[in-house]
Amino acid sequence: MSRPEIYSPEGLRIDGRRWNEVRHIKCAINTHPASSDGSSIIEQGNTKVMCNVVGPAEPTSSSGGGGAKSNTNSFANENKVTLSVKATVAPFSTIDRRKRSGNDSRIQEMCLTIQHIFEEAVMGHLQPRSQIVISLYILAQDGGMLQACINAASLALIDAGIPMYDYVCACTAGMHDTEVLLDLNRLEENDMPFLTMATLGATRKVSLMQLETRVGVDKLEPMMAAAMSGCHYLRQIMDAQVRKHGKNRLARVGA
Amino acid sequence: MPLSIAEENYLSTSLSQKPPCRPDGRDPHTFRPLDAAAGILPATNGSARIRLCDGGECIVGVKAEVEVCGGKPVEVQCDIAGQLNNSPLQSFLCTTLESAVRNALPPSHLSISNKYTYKLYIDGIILDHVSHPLTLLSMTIFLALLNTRLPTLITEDNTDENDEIGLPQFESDWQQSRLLCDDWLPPLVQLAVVAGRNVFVDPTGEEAAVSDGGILAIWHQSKVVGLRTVNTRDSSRQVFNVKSVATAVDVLTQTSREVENALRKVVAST
Repeated sequence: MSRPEIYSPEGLRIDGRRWNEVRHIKCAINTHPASSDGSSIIEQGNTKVMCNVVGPAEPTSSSGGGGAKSNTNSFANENKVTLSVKATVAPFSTIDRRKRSGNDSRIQEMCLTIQHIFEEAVMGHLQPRSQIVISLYILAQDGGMLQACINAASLALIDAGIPMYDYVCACTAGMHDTEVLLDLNRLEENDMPFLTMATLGATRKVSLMQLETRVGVDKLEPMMAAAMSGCHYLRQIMDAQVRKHGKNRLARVGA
Repeated sequence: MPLSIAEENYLSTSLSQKPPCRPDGRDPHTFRPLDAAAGILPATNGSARIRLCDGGECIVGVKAEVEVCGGKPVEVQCDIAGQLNNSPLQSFLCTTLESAVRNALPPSHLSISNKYTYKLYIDGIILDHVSHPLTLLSMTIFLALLNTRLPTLITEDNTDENDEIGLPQFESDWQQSRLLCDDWLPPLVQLAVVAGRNVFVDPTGEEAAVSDGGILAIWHQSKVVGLRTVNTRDSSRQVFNVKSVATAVDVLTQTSREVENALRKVVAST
């Protein structure tokens, strides 16, 4: 089978983007007002993630989205809020159907990563002895699952009205030979080393950097710079969406 | 939230009196409003989402894969948020719906050649449920199957023996694909609860909790083709009058027909 050309000499990628262009982004917040306190849905290219946030609430054995089981009460932290993250990957999300077991180690690791990021981003000291359950549903994946999950969780937490220092925005960047490519899709991810970076808003504060493939150390810096600019761009888009939603909602209550 | 004894008593009395009085003032055969959409996921063969007004939500994706003939033609799996895999509720939902779809689906609709066949993987995610999720999942699967498209075959349908190594080739143009349900309708499984002599469809969580028990009916091709009792409350007490079963079949026949028509309109409009 012939391999697709990842990056043409004219500087175009498989889906026709330039190196520094992100995939189309569609996001919405407050999509599930009946079942959760905060909810969001984000589409980045063909990757689609839904997020429901329940809380802050008293930690109970059957908290809302149901990430946590029986022993959460013992985790009730006296000083800050307890976050629990649960991700469900739909079996139909990939091209070939694949059923993951409930405790897939990669998914658990991703949940833990997201939990750590938001423990830093949420002003947890304002809600001691309470719990926030973040449930993520990955409905379609086409590369950048982690970044989409982080962005979705960020939006849903904002929708739930949970005080945060800033948006947490995540973006991937890869290195194809000597060219940096921003926001990879699945084909590109499989073909080149890439990193996922999350920043706290449009600052240079990095809250996550994950690189799981081998890459020359001289190539790391341009990748990081590209990913950071991607994060800043995403923050703009997410912020615009949140403001638009807020405006509509205010208009509805007649304020 | 468990009901207090007084609440339970009040609710069960008002449900079993003649005429019955439901807490939300609905008729026994009226559904709550719901929000349905089909074809939401382009990476699947068919997909649907249904959201109830109490926050219950279900997303179903159908994937067809090419397999060698002989295996199970349909597999139904579901994830229920907040419940472990292999919970009794989950296996009840999967087996009920799998057998309903398998019995209703003519095998010719999935066959590709004498060696290969499609296998349908129907996967549901129940994001949240307050009332019993059976009707919700069944309606979403119904919508997703109505929305399911299979690619057309471009290799000749050879019955030769020497065709065994040749893998089937498909049209890459999705516009040319055919609908799975062109002359066939998927089954619907509806749950009703019995309280005294009365039967209610689309029970809320509280109604199910005080009912005498539940009856499910499998509806296919304008007929009730299957009937089963369902435990809708925690206690083991589940006794109801024989006449209630007949009433349940009547009520479920009427609502299944209406639900089927309503869901077909949803798909037609997308």
